[in-house]
Amino acid sequence: MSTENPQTVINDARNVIQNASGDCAKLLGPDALSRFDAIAGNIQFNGDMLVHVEGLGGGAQEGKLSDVPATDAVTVGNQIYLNPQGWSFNTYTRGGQAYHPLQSTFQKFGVTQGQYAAAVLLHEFYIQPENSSLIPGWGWMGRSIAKRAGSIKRRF
Amino acid sequence: MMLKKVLVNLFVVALVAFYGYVQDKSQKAEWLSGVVVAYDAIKADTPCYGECERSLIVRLEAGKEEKPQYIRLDVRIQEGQDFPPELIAHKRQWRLRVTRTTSLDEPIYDYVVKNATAYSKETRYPIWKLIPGAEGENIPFGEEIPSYTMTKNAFKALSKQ
Repeated sequence: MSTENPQTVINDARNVIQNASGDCAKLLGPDALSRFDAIAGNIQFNGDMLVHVEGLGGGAQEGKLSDVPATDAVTVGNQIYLNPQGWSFNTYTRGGQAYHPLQSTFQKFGVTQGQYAAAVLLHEFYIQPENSSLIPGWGWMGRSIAKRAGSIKRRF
Repeated sequence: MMLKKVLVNLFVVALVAFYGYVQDKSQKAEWLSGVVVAYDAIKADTPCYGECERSLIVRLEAGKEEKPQYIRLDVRIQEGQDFPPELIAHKRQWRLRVTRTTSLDEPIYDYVVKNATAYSKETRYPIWKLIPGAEGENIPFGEEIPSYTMTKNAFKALSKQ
């Protein structure tokens, strides 16, 4: 599975930026490709970051990023940490059969797992501090939880 | 000959799918009484885009001598809406307005297994999280149980907190 390799995810995200047009290009802003290339070296698989995620019943999970597979990535400053345990970057079985926890989401949007994984990275790129002027009402933000990948994901 | 077999198989698959669809469409809402005993912790953590669902396991009300009967209840919610937390706060009896969804029946599994990669080892994630007070429930993992759907607020408490 190619999404297990961060370089593949980076290349896929880069291709989307390179070929972006219309609303997608507008959303990414000017010089998106050069801005992406500038931070591409800061992207790594690293699940050791500390995160705080709220659960279904309102309870909070505190722990390492790798303890929270539903959170695929976090941004700290201009470093992007992809979760090696994240749903987007792994394959699964259930009852001995291939199964993916995000299957219904892939189907709903007609995307592959690889496209979804690239969207996770695009989301992190989109919320980089340098890009804050592109997001209405969004000031500088040192850390983000990429549980929802937001509007970029929907543009596939 | 081969083509004929393929066509016959396709026809049978289409017929079964259509039967399931018609069955679901013809199902009417009904009231069921039962105790919510677990929720799907994997679905609970997945992002909600547009409309999505969270799943519960409910043990239906039954006589003392009867074998416990469990159902899977998919609760439909809209993006931005909160799941009703009272349903999973603790074990409690509810009256639920539900619709049978025969085509969604499937076995309930206890784990999702993440395959090993170069970056992480194989990991087992429990799918169902027992809610407080339901720790002794014997959920029939591996067995197919009936499925139902419910819209977000179609429930009433039967027992007090």
